[in-house]
Amino acid sequence: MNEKTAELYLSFAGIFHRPHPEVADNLEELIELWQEEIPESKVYIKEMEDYCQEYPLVDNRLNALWEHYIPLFEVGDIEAVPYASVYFDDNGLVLGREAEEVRGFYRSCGYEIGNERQELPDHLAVELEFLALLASEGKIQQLLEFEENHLKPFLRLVLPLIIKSKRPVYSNAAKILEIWKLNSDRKGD
Amino acid sequence: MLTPVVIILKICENNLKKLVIFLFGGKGVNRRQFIKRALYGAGGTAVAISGFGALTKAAPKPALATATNEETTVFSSCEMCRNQCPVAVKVVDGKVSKIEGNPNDSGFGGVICARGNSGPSMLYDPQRLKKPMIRTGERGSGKYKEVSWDEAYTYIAEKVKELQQKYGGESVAFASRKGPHDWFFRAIGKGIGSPNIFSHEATCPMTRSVALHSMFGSEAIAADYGNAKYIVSVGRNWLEGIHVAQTRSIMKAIDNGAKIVVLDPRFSVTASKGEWIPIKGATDLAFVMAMANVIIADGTYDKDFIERYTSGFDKWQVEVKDKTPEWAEKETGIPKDTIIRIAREFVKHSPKAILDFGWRTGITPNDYQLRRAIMFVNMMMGNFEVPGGYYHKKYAAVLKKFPEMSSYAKTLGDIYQPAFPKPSTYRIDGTGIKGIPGQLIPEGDGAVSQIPESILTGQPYPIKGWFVHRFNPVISVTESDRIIEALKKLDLLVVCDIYMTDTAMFADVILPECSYLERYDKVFDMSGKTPKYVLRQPAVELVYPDTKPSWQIYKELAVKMGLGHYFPYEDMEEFISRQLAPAGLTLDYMKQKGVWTPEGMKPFYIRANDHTASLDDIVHRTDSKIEFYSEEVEEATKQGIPKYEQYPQPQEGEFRFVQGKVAVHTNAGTANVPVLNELMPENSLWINQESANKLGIREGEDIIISNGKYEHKGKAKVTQGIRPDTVFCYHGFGRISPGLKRAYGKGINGNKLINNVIGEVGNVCTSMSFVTVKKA
Amino acid sequence: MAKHYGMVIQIAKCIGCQACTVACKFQNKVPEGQYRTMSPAVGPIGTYPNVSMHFGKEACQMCQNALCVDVCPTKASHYDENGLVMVDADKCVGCRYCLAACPYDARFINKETGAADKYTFCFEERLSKGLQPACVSTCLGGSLSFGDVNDPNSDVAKILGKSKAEFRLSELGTKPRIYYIYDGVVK
Repeated sequence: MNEKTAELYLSFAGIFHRPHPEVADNLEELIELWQEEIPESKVYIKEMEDYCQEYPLVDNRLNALWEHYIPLFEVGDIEAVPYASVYFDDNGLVLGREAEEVRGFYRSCGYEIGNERQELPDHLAVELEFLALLASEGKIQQLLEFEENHLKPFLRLVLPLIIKSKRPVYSNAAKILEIWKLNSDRKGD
Repeated sequence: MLTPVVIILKICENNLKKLVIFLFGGKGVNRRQFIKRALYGAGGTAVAISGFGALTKAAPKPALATATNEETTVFSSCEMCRNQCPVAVKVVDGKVSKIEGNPNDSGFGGVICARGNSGPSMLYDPQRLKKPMIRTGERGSGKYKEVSWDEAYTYIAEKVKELQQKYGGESVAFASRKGPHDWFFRAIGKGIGSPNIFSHEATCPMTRSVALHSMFGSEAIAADYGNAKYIVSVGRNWLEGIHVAQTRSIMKAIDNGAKIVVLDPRFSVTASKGEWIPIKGATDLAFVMAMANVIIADGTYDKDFIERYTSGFDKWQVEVKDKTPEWAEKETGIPKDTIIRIAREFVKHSPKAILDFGWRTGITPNDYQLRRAIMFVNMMMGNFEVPGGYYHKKYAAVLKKFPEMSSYAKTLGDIYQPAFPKPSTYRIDGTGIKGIPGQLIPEGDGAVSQIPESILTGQPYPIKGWFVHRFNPVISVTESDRIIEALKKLDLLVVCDIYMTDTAMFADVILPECSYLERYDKVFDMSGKTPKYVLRQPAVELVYPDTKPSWQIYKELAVKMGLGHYFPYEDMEEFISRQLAPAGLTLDYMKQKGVWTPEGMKPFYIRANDHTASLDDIVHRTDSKIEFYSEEVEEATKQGIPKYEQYPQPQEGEFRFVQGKVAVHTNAGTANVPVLNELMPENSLWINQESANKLGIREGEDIIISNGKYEHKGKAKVTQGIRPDTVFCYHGFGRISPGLKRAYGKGINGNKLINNVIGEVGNVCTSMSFVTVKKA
Repeated sequence: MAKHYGMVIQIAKCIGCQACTVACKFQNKVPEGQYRTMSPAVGPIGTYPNVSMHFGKEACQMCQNALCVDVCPTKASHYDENGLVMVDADKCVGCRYCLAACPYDARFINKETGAADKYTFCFEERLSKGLQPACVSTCLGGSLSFGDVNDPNSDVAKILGKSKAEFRLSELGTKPRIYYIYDGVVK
């Protein structure tokens, strides 16, 4: 369970990080993983497969991802700000209380924000990646605590916005993540 | 020779993951291995738990070990507008919690305006630019990819090289909002041999600079509002166009009983604190000439001052002989008795009287003549180098010339830059060419609205590349659509900013600068009545780790372009220390105070105690005389003495369209800043009640404004506070960049409705457009 | 003598620049879209070209007979040791009675805390540390003064000695501590 959880978390982290050639190149693998592990994702998988076929070359695929990542998360319409504290703290600004709490949580588990990929601590992808690392280390107690106190409240706010954006890949991945993390609770998974 | 194993180990030390992916990667080959590899490293042996590198392993620490809730103060300087006011930044646990004025500066007294106060909301705005970007779609389509700084620099360097080879370095223009970044920004332009380096000044106070230079041989003339007893504004609006020190001085003057008279077609906040004279648009020069006429007819001018310090007054006397109050009444719509009364009140209070020389000037094509005439009237009354009048700024180089003051003169050092190549051709705007109006345009500023013209017409030669730093011509230069058309025609547009501005959205490369709260800048000289140096230093670490200060961006770009030798410093601490050393100051001192001004020095007015004191050291014209008649202006424009030019007035059904500043925003700069946007998200069109009635327009209704060429939607603000023949809106709204999400599409962009007419000395002309208004 | 804190507002010196509005927001972490104080324009009034305009500072009037305190069912709204009206957010149940009772419309429910909120003279954040309220210390026009009106050496006492002050809705008998001076203003 730990291993699959880690892989799933990392796969979603890969999607919600800034587009990266390696992730773009291995998109099919992520889709395959979700198909296997999250059977309810079938409807959404199809659209993603079409996307992969539309952009077989990694460079085109990467630019196509940027075309959606930027207005979705970064600059422009910013349909879904990827930083948790913007949702939880007053005034919709970054590096609010939630960001500090999340950073503190990372530290307490022996993690710091990396040099290689500098992001704010409460970026959606960083939180997902952190959970992947916890899972792979078998730190289940901390994983559950982080999920309950930080990730899930964030996902409840941000995923509907990403889904609503109807942006290929992102919207579908958000839906699958929602099925896995938010709806899964009901099944007692 | 290294064996493969050694090579692998060497690389491993630096970048294990990339190597692993290189060795084992490839689509389809190792399906379902990508995630595993990223998680566990190669071959399932977990060398280091890595993920994608967003987090690194460290020794566990208590979650909130660093939170102390202790407040520290970092003294720095503001950049919510270009005035660079000294501020005290309050920092709690590495975050800016609040910004106040720097109490170490008596001119500010711990006070800062709404914009300065709102700084933290800009600092932590999720809508800021965060990474360098390169355009992937059509210009303006918003399609970009994020790239590394190195990729961005490489792209720019290659493109510039291409342009240099094909069209010469002069084909690349540089324009910035004037500021301390210019030392770095301009070095790129000078380095490639481009003469076409511009500031934003032509859209703002340039005609004033031209006027001052033509009279005094110096632009460094300021007004001592705080001690004045009578102040006449010619469209100046200190209480909405906030300059904290000046705004406070005006309020101090009012508190001490000074009278304020405001000539403005619109009832501004400043007008509400004094006597409002709703002058007919574009006729200010008639009023000023009539003032001179009255004063000369009365014989009340300061004959000794004119005799002792000026030249060419006789020619001015001739010019205004027939500019009687009766004549001016017809031109300006101001009753002649009012003109006479104001002229006499002005005389009565002189030399503690100021006929203000303006801030955002450029009302008409010959605006510089208005500014000269204004200063003529001040000089006629000897309102110079005495408290309550005008004065030359007392920076170190000036004080050095006065033995009793020289001990206060501590000169900042220059950072040596090797000689730049001499541009192989003249500037596109004719700046500096003798015998044409360009002769008068300040070399460091230029006529910035010539850039889009040269892009579009190829005249006098084509501009193919444009670097823009913290400047937004699409909103701040007239005729927005023409600017956009020009931007779309460029081969290279590079924009450095903190937001996706209306200009950045058309760029090929976007460079994200960090905010003023996260960086050092060159120490700036803000000397006024006493010398003053102000520091900008980081209050907090970078919020978005991949943004950079401009001094670093242009240095790194320069290195990539082979121009690194023009940036002879390692970092800004070193740069600043070298600036400060000759003044006997240290970075440490400046960090503790934020500002330096000589201890014990009182404001220094050369003529305060001796009305015959020599002004030779501050007036740099022929024989050190302040020039009414100017040989230089005569040579350039054939108008050595200002002549009145009658400009058209709006016809029935038309309105003169004018713009102005508002206290809670900075021009084209702050519409998207969270707290300021919240206070004022949009503007509306002020229209006189009676005029609105005729058009059937009611308060708050949707309207369409048209200048015949362009149309703009907006909302009406029906008011008694404007001339019936004039409409007005605050500047800086109606933003077209979706990247400014809060401000996008809200309100009216006035500059869309003003055609790009370049004034006589290169200025934009803000008030020469007529519009019609109808219900939407 | 006990301190009698008061705020004196010289309306003629207010330029409506909203520096106070923004300073207050950051000092007191007031949520987006909410304000403890603002300085809205009144006017232009009159008929062109004879018009006038001033700015009115909106804020809790710090009544000595405070209706908000009277109606509060949980004693969250109370007078502190200096007689200043304060809200204890922990005791507030967000019933909005005080919002309805306040004749100055000076209260709101803080989006973050869910409690009634209002202008406090920055009592906790600044006054208790010997600082002036944030709005006063950033006032560009010099319109705002704060201090002990019983202390003849205070700025407020000096200004009140020279000019006649008014209270808003004084007919209600709320006895506010905000003194409005309209010298030089056409109302």
